[in-house]
Amino acid sequence: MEDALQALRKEVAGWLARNLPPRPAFKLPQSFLEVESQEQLDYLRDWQKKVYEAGYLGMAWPAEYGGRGLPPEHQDVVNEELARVKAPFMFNTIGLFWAGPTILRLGTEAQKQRYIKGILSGDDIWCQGFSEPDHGSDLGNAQTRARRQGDSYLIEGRKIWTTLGHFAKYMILLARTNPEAPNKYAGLSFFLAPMDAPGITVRPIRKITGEYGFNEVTFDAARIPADTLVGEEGQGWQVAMAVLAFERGVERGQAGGMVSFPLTVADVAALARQVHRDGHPAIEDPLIADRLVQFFIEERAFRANMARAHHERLLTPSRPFAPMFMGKLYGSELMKRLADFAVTIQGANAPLYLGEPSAIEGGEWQRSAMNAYGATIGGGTTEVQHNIIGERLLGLPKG
Amino acid sequence: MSQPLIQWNDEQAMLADAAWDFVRAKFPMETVRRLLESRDGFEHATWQEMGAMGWLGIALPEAYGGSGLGLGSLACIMEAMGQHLCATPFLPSTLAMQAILAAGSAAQRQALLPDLASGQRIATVAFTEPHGSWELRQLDTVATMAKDGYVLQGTKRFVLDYAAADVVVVSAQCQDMPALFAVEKAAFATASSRREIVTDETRRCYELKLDGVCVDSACRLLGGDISQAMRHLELAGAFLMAADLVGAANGAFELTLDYAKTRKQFGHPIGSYQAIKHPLVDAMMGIELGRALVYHAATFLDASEDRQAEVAVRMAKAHANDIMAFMADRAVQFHGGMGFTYDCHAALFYRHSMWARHTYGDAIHHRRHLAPLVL
Ligand SMILES: Cc1cc2nc3c(=O)[nH]c(=O)nc-3n(C[C@H](O)[C@H](O)[C@H](O)COP(=O)(O)OP(=O)(O)OC[C@H]3O[C@@H](n4cnc5c(N)ncnc54)[C@H](O)[C@@H]3O)c2cc1C
Repeated sequence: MEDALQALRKEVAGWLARNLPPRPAFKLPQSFLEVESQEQLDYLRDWQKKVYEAGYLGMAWPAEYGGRGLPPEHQDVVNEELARVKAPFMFNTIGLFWAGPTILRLGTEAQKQRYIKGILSGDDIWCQGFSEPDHGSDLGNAQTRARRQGDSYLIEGRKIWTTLGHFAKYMILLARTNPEAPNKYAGLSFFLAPMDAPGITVRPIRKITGEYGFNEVTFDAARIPADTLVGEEGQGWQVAMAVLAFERGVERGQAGGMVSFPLTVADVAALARQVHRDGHPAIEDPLIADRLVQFFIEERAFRANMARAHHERLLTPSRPFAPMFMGKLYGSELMKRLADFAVTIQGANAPLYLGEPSAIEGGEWQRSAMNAYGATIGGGTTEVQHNIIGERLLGLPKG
Repeated sequence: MSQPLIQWNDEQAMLADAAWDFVRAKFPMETVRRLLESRDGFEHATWQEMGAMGWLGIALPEAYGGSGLGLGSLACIMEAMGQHLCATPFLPSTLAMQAILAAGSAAQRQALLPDLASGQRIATVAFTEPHGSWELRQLDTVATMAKDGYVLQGTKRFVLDYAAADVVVVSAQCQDMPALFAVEKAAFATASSRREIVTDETRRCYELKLDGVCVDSACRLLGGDISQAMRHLELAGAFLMAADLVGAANGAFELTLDYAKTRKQFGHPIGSYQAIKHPLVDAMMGIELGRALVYHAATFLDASEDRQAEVAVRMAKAHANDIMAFMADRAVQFHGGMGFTYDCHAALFYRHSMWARHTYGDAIHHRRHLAPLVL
């Protein structure tokens, strides 16, 4: 296998050298959370399709549904090569990383046949309908209603903060089929809802950055086919938990590629060489330099910790899943602090923002710092992650 | 950086399992407490067992009675000992052996190393001085050439396990060059030594006054580049202490986690409150990252002792210091009034932390060295 992987690495490197698209004239988003315009979408979709058609996406997914049925190490090699050349991220993130693996694990044969291929090719964009205006962290309390009527379900209610909702063909939807269930979790069901169903309205919401990118989705007696149900009625919470395990990287099975353009400490160090403070490059300020060193240490530790996940014998016996559990919590907070620091070193010029001709690097760092909250709030907030890790991994009692 | 960040083979994994089992069995807290009162701070029988298992020679070539696994493999032993606050002369004896290996001639290595590797004899290092620098090449102690040897003049601090040691590796400035001497302790009969009072009562540190002590010229280590050897010792010391600290931080963590689950206030276990729960999660993450950095440093150190290895070691020690400081602090605070007592184990970890963080470089020291290496 080692030889095969070695050969694959060379092959991919060659392919990337020939096929990596030039950066477009317009701004690319940092991650799928920030896709705003049609031109951004077209560019990213073309790239995903190209990678898929070359055989480099969904390599470990079963061949009968559009994957290649290879051991996951193959996709790992490709991912490393994509990261190495800073290739664009896979914009159909919700499909490739969360919905797809969940369908493969828990969906019916017909569902796998219908949805998996379109996720990989990028033809079918997916969004996630979990959060509601009144129930975010308390996801198990979601109140959007689903009522069975013959061969369909009628959906009534509101979902919010729906990333990619304005482009999506399908939504993974958590809705309440039984308000009288013995507990809040048991009344939930999970659907693969078509976004073009009559009665669904998508309203864009403006973000802290001033841009658009997520939405409110209203269901007004929207009718969706009954065979979009995943699992049984009442099993929605278990399915949603599987989605979240994939989303937070606690479990593996994602199609491949990256979810964002990585922000590295080296990028911020490069900025610190350009930017001046008190008449000198910022990096010459020992206090700035020390902060950068601290970030380098954290970044290295974070990467080594992820590498450790492959060495069973180096995991801490009382909590072997620690590296998986902490990835989202630690990684998102680190990126947020790093982006904020990139703004800080700009000194008096730090307030200059997108569109301002004198803004440093176009005000992109300011936007990144704001967008970084997407990962500390979305997918379960930092506070809720602390609760989950404290309770599930460390066995501390619930509050 | 094409090299994997972490490598750890089956042989190392087996060693790690054995180390954890041994330390767990030999060092329950009652033993640690009992040893606080003892002269040497460790049991000689335990030391003999460690020698018999071959642990003392892990980082030595087979030619000198070692197993040639490399310094990196010691991470798991130091980590296990740190977690259980287990004091033995493992650190000083290992560093002394590294000094002899790096700086000694073939004859000096052959004469000294096999007995140290077997545990039959114990060695220590006398490097640190009253000025407190962690730069081993900064030396006030001088060695002047005399008839059949050298006369040493100066004061050494934090000489670990001096009372139990048979051999002492001393650093001194000799004709404007750093020099190392491996001296039989008997030769120090006229030197005055006293035990220093340090926060960490699990350790035995001594001050050594070398007021014109004469040592044989054969003691001078003459096999290699001394500056290079001292740089190696600085990194080896920092690496071993990083592993100790990450282990100790986890020891303090497990102790406190347990208390958070059992101690009840306001009708609930205190660990159900987020002001306790969330910092414990932060501490756990910091410890995991620390373990990752230690084994990363082990990987790079054993690959080749280059700039990359130096970066990894300094990162590991800087991080280990910070996470130990955080965890030791929370361990005391989260035990409440009990945490303020001498008898609470949190106190042992806290007092160990004060010693260990400031041995072979604190976080600021290592970050200062890292700046030119990574920026
Ligand atoms: C950029 C972005 C994209 C998103 N995309 C999607 C999407 O595509 N699909 C989707 O369904 N959702 C999406 N979300 C929604 C996200 O999952 C929710 O915002 C999140 O779960 C928090 O819910 P909330 O907004 O209702 O905040 P609340 O739950 O009201 O939380 C408010 C504050 O209270 C804290 N808090 C809540 N409960 C506790 C507790 N038990 N202990 C301690 N503190 C607590 C929170 O941490 C937070 O600080 C997105 C969010 C963002 C920011």
